[in-house]
Amino acid sequence: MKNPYAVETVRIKKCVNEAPDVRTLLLDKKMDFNPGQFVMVSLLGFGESAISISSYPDLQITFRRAGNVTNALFEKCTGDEIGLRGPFGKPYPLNEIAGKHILLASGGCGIAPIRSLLKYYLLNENSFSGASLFFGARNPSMILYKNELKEWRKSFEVHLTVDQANSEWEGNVGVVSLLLEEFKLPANAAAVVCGPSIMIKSVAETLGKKGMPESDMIVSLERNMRCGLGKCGRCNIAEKFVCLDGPNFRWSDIKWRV
Amino acid sequence: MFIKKSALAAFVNSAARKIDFYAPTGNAFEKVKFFDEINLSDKTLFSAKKILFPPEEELFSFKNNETRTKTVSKNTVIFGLRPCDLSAFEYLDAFFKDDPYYTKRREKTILVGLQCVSRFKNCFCHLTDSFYSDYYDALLVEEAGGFFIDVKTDAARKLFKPAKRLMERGGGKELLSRIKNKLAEKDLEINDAVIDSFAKDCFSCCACTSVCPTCTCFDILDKLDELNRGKRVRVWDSCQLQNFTRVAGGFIFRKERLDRINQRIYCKFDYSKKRFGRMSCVGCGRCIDVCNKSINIFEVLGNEKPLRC
Ligand SMILES: Cc1cc2nc3c(=O)[nH]c(=O)nc-3n(C[C@H](O)[C@H](O)[C@H](O)COP(=O)(O)OP(=O)(O)OC[C@H]3O[C@@H](n4cnc5c(N)ncnc54)[C@H](O)[C@@H]3O)c2cc1C
Ligand code: SF4
Ligand code: SF4
Ligand code: SF4
Ligand code: FES
Repeated sequence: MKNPYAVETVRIKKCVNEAPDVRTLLLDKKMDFNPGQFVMVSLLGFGESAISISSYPDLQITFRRAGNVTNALFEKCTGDEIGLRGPFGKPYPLNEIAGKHILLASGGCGIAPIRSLLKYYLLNENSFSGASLFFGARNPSMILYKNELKEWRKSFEVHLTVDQANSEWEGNVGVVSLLLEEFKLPANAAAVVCGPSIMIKSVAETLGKKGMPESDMIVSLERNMRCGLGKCGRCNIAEKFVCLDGPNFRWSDIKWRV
Repeated sequence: MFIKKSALAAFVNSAARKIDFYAPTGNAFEKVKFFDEINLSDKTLFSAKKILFPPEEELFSFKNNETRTKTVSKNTVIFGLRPCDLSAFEYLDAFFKDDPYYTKRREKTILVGLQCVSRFKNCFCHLTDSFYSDYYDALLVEEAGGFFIDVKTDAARKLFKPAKRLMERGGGKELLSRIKNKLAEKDLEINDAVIDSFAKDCFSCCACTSVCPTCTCFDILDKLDELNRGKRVRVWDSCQLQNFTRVAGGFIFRKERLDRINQRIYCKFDYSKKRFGRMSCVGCGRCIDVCNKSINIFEVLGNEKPLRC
């Protein structure tokens, strides 16, 4: 029997500072995963954290310093080693969203798993009818993947917004759902949403008003996770375990609990 | 078959010398050496789950980035398990079937049951379909002067081989068949108003979840011996604690006590059914026995019926 708690040591190939307190690590490991899944990242002696895979098909993670493990992880850079197990969770329902225009709405670090899907999109552009990315950050310095935006804009629309602008910011100000209100929803669209739950709710509401069925909205939920295996018992929403059955859910299946 | 009490005692005294022999000693299941230490007339306050799912268990030890895993498996007997406890192990076996630590222990463990003939205070196994369970290697039913014994599996046959010549034909099969015919109530309904009334009394002490034979929740912690050396352990945890669902940033998903009590009750009666096809509550009543605030999970189901065999 494979030990699902065993941690594999993996070398960091590259590390990129995305924003103050946010970093992306490229890991030296081939892993069989699909966009929307996550890994448990370990620093022995500090503990483990659930982190979304933020790339495809290479293995990258993007994380924000938020406590014990992520603070310690922030000390690690190119050449250092970290512990890993996974992948965990159900990927985005790629078959269901194939052929559609995918609308990706994200807030803060919630863009991490969305970026994995975007990279998948770029490799499989022909199997979708289009994509639009909506990304909201607290302020301009918190916009992630800045040096990739230009490349992305060649293939799909990118809409950015910040909660608080500074003197250099000329773009949108306000929450993501506000941006969406002005957006003309293409026919045959599906949404993938990841961010704080308040943002998920308002995005879902806005899309609903625009006529998108709730079963076409895929939302990613965050819970406290210790095992990733449906065992430690803390990530459940009623009988569903976010680590096993999620973290990606159809909004129509889960909205009454968010 | 029938075995006299003295013969059973002789068997236990000899078997317990060779293997880890756990049995009820009053409040808990403990390792015993002699039959005299065993108490077969009371219900234990603590369940037997700790033998296979210890309160604290090493997942691996580490030094720098090197890890070392050791799983424990010793020949073990758990003796004197009541039907609810057998049913609880049936649930735990399904729950932990892909867990190497649990299954390694479990593979070498023999379950010896002890049939109840009436309920103890606070038991409601008649509602949870666990007044009888066939999930045993061997089963004892007390009778005048001794026990009816059903030795069912190969493992149990091997264990009881030395006692075989001490067993006699006969024994009260009829009692067992009468017990089996006590069917559980079906279609239990959860009364949410009763749960609401618990919220003002409960003080989240977690006694209920720690004595429960089917509570499986745990936390994972790293413990350091030196700066670069230590172990990763899993320790029992409880959904009754606020921090159980706290995420980075401080948000707590089940902040209100009512949410946490709801979690426990629905976990036992409803979520488990949806995930495993059966309730995880086995009606042992231990959470009621132990609660300082007399919170009684059974009242949630609220249809008391007497049970006699
Ligand atoms: C499926 C999933 C994907 C995630 N993806 C990302 C990502 O791509 N990037 C990112 O920056 N963050 C992500 N997170 C959140 C990340 O797991 C937490 O921010 C991180 O675990 C905080 O842990 P820490 O050890 O640094 O802090 P700690 O000091 O351990 O914890 C601070 C507080 O957070 C709680 N906590 C512990 N573990 C988690 C957890 N797994 N989730 C939430 N709270 C927790 C603790 O109980 C404590 O109250 C994800 C979470 C989930 C469930
Ligand atoms: S034992 Fe009673 S008071 Fe303690 S957490 Fe359980 S229900 Fe609440
Ligand atoms: S919930 Fe209470 S009655 Fe049910 S199995 Fe657990 S301790 Fe026993
Ligand atoms: S969620 Fe609560 S009631 Fe359910 S197994 Fe865990 S501790 Fe027990
Ligand atoms: S993370 Fe442990 S049950 Fe989901």
